[in-house]
Amino acid sequence: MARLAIHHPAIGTRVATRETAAAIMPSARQVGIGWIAIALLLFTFAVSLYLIQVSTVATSGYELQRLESERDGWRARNEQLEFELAKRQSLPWVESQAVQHLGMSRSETPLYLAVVAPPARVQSSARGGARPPDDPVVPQVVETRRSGDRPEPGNPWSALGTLRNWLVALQEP
Amino acid sequence: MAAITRADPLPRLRLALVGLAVVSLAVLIVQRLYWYQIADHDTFVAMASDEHQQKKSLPARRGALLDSSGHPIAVNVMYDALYAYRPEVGNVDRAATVLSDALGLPKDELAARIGAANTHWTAIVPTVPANAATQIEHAELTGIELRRVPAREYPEGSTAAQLLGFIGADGKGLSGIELTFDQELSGTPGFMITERDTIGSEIALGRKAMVPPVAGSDIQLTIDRYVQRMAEQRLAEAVKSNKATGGVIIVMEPSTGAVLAMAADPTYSLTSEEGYDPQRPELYKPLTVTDTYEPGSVMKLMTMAGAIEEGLITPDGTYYQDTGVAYVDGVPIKNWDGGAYGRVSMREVIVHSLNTGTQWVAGQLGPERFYKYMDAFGFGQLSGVRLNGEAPGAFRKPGETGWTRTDLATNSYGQSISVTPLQMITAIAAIGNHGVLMRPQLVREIRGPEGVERMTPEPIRQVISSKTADTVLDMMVSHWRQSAFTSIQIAGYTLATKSGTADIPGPGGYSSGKTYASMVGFGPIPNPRFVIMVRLDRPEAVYGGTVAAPVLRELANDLFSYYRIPPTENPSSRR
Repeated sequence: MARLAIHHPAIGTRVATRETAAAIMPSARQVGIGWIAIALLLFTFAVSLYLIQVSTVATSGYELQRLESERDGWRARNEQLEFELAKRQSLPWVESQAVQHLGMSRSETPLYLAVVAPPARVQSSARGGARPPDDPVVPQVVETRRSGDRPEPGNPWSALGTLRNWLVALQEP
Repeated sequence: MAAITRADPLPRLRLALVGLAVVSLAVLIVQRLYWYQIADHDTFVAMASDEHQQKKSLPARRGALLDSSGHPIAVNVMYDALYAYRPEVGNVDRAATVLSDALGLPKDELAARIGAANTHWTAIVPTVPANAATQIEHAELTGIELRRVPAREYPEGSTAAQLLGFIGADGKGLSGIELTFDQELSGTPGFMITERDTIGSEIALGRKAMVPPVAGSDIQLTIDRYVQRMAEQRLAEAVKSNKATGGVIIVMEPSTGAVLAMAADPTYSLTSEEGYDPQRPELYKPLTVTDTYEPGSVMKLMTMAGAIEEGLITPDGTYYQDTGVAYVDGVPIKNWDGGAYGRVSMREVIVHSLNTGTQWVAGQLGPERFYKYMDAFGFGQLSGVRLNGEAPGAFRKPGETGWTRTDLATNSYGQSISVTPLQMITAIAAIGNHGVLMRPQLVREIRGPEGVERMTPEPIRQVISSKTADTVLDMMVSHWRQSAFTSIQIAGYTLATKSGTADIPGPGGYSSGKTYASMVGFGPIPNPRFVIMVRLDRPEAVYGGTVAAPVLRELANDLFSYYRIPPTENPSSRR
């Protein structure tokens, strides 16, 4: 049997046999197994990563589908509410509310009161020009109704005066 | 034990046969493999794709119809439709109870509907509101399913039903504006290619391609919802009170040709669940453009306009000696009341609506010039209003089979000539628009994804001069101010009108005693803002001046208030 003498100052001289060396140094088989283990580990890690990614994406995908469905639901609800709003603003509904709940009735004869036009004022246009002298002053007409309409803004005393004049004119033969 | 020797051929033969069979099978397999994998590769790839891929259609939202001020009158709304399949519904009683609580419908009725759905998935409630849908979803009922479907809704109810038209179950327009503008309203559907699992559900990760849908355009009409509603209400009242079989009201803006209202009676409901009645197809078409009628004396305005334009007559300087009857080729032409009015001016011919005087004017014009003006006013041609099914109307012309001199006489006062109500009001509107004929307009703008397309008013031609138009308008004012209409004058306002009464021909000729009673009128005068046409079909009191005039008066009064048009004269002066 081959012997190998190893001298070390600390431990003195030792004699190692081939078997002892073989027991200390990893064999080629062991190295191979090690590499396989590392490869398996890496493979497992990569597969795990892939599975985690796929799982995450799948979960996100289903979440996306759920959110899309929810969005469509909200859109549908929004459309339904817009339709309800349009119905509430429709003429048949407004008329039924006015007549049945507010006790209003249709105004058959509007009464128009002609009021004196305000004196022409010099208005500056956007370009800084004055109102052209030949621009006619349009007489202002205030419309009121006999059945409870809100009066138009204006000078109430002037309007009353005009109404009085008009009523007097009606009395005249 | 028998030894196999070279001299014994049987085993070798068996071996050869087995070998041949194996080789044959192998060849067959290879041939099939070649067939599947190479020769018909594309087909099988497509079949495989079909099996695990699906092309999911993404429907486009149908555009809305809006009135002239932008209020929606027809809109698409997504609802959940409730489907049931009886074999999969475990407890019908429980399901019916839950659905009844959510929908507010009778439980027994719902149970019956579920019970009837025993062969396939059936829609038991077509539209479920969102809050009810949420309740049903949370109940997690087996055999009950919600599927999202679009529905056409009408916020203003059945306003302008014949004009708007309706859509079919496939969402395609079937009549009216919905049909004519179906392409614009429909938009372009999109699609999504995706993978599905073994039970047909979409795989979230399997989306491969998506083309989003393009929504349909919104169409803004020239119709004003208020004017339309007024017209429909006035028409319905008039038809009822005059015991008529139906009628038409159109309101138009003379300066643009924009149709503000187009009402017809009888009509149908857009909102009821009754659906299409195949027994009454005439209800579902816009008969103001599809159906023709003989207009009667309203046509006298065109005859007068032509003769004034040609310088042949003047309203107050040309006279006709009326004896109550005029013979044309031996055919007697009489006045509507059979009366003889003596020496009358052309203005009086219009005021009293004399057939005898009008046929005389047509005689002065002669056939060539008379029919030239008929063409110029747009009779016998499509108006180009862009509404499917428009009729051109018809009348015989010189040279055509059957035309006689009597046709000229009768055409001059609106008999033996067919026109549509829209044609008639369009021609009349030209008189209030300084003689310019405008193309009638129903659409103001189309609002699509690529922008807004505005429809500008389109003048067709100058039919008569502005001076002639003003003269005819003045004659119409005289018609309105005649003593017969004193009781229906509107204080402070002047109208310009012409009535018409046309006999409806029956199998025995014009002796049915039934009439189209009509009236056209501008308001206010001067500067007419609108022109109204009222027609009542087969009213009890047959004359237009009797039955249609009060309706026109009421509607004009409504419009003066609505448009805030102040009186043009002292109200007390007209009392």
